[in-house]
Amino acid sequence: MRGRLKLAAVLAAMCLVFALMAGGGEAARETRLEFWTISLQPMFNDYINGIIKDYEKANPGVKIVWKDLPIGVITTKLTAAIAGGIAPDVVNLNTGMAVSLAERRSLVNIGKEFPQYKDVYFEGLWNSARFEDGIYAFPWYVVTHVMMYNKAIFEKAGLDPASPPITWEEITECAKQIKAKTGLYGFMPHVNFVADLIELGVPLTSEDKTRATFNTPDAVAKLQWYQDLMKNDIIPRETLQAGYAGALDRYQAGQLGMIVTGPQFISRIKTNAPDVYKNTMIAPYPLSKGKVVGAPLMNLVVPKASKNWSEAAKFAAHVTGDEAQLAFCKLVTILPSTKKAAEDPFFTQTDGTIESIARKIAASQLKHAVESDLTLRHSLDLLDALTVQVEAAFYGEKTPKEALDQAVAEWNKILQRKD
Amino acid sequence: MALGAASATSGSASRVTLARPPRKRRLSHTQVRRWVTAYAFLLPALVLMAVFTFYPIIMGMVIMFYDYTVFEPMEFVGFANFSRAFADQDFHKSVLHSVEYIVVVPVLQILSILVAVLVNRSLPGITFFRTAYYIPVVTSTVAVAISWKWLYNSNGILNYALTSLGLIERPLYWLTSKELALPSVMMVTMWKGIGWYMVIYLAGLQSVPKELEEAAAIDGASRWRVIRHVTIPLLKPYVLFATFMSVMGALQVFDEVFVMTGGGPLKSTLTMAVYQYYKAFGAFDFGYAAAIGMLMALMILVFNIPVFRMLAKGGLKYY
Repeated sequence: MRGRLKLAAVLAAMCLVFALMAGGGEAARETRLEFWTISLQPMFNDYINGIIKDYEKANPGVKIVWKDLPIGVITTKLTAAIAGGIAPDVVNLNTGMAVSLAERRSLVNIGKEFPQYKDVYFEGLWNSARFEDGIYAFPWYVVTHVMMYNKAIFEKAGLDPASPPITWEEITECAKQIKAKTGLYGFMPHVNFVADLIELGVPLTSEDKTRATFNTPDAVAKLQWYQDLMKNDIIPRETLQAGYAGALDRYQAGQLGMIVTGPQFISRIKTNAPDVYKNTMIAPYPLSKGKVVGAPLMNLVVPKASKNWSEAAKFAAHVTGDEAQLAFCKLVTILPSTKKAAEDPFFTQTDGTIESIARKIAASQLKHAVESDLTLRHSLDLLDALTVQVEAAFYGEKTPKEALDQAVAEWNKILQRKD
Repeated sequence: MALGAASATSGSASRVTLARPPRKRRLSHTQVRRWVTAYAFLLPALVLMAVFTFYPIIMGMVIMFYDYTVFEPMEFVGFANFSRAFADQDFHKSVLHSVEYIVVVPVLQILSILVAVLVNRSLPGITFFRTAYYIPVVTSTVAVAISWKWLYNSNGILNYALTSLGLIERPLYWLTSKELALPSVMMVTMWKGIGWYMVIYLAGLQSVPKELEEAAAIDGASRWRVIRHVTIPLLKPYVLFATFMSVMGALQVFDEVFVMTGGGPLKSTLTMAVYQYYKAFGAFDFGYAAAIGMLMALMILVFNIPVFRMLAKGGLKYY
């Protein structure tokens, strides 16, 4: 009896070993791709799982493993994963992050390896993640800024909500009137001075990128505008540090007259502040001299350390393709980066809701869309040097001219560096 | 020499040692089992510490001599990262702010001792107060920092209260003025830390032998003299521990600064740990960040030497 039991145990163990070996063989034939996104769970689980399923069905033998991470940790985790030799294959990054990794030669040059995708996307967006002679990302979803304003605050301030301001000068006047009549702040800009310079059409550097050139009268006037707004208490003191989130908090609390932001935040206002949502109206983003609109863009990159980078790029092209992007845009107020998807009537018609109005306005601005992140060598050092000087001007420590001259001097030193 | 001294002082036991060296005793089966069990329980923690503490420390001590960005091969640069730190004005600023942060230490310790004395009484509802003071300790620093950011807002409740009471005419820019930002963040560190140190001092107060305080009182010492000459000297080992931890925490402060100001405005709250983070995970300059880490460790050592000197004598040794 005991002998039979032993025999049975040995046979069972052998079966297990063979089964594992067979499974291992199966796994070895399977291409496993790890796909990282930024803050899409749990809201878009069905959508992302759907496009993964479609891809796996069309590409037998490919298995996609999806991980979602908060924006604050994604570069840290990606750095650690690359250092640990377990790099993901497709990663969602904003343009600034993508270019900073491209600068370190850690991403696949999509422009060189997969030039066939170039014409699928809007030219300005395809070129966003350009670093030197390469293109290092597939453009994914994008938004162009629109202006939202609170009808009730406008009326209280004696302004006509049917005629919103359409230039920066008009916005300034409206903000002053709101402050004077209601005591509330009319406006709280998201200060990104690189974006301001691009929107003004001010060249950041010389053609050969060896000299900074942005201390022009237009740039000085823009910084002076900020300084005056701050000095005269037309914008909140926290403006510089609070960013989009701080402005949105104030707007949702019914404490801000106007906000320039992406249309995707309408759904958040609707959930968090239904009364403010009911009073919200939408206007186009005021164009400056450069006739461009800042368009924060999300990208998909393929790390060089990916063991299956060719397959990974194919999957990234699938996720950022026309069909997948159009379906995504129908779930949330975002815009596609592909030309064909943007032609869909969905982006040119409205049903009277502010979401559809915002989408129509934002989509109509796509032709002016440019990403406003720095794409120069040593971009982090350059940004830091500019930010310090802009802050100094903002808080009245320096005149705008002094601050920009100093920033240009710092940039020239950095641009000359050979490391 | 040592053997002679040992035989002179320890009498017969030493003579036995001299006459016949002890035989190597074999461990019994029970002792081996106990030893294996103990280390088996320790093993998971040791493995975790080896991976997440010792290995990073050792690697940090290596990469501080290299130019290391993770993405490119490491390049040996000798002491270049250190000489760079000595010439880096932003690093100097961060050192200055971290040293300024040490102001938190004495204030925090004095307040914690006072709170501990207050809650070390058998009053009705005292447990509630002990718990209430401890709640900030168990609350996430990020949540605390975000809440305080709202309180400090120019239209926040703090400015509203001070303006309503007529103490200020215009809102104060707690986190957006160069002068106020660092003290405002320090306040949050103190608010969050009081409960933690209070518990340490409460344990200390409860271990002070009552008969010593009673003897002093019988000898005619006033309440203050009892605290000054009996309670506080007996608390010194606790003060030493708490001050040591507090100096270390102040020089390494990160969370509240990172969340509330990010090092601004105009780098007026940039501390060493925040600067190190920016260099490592912003600029991928891991070699330089590791060198900053080493300098930070050295500073912690240097700043704790006087703490040990001042507070080493205490407890029952005081007498």
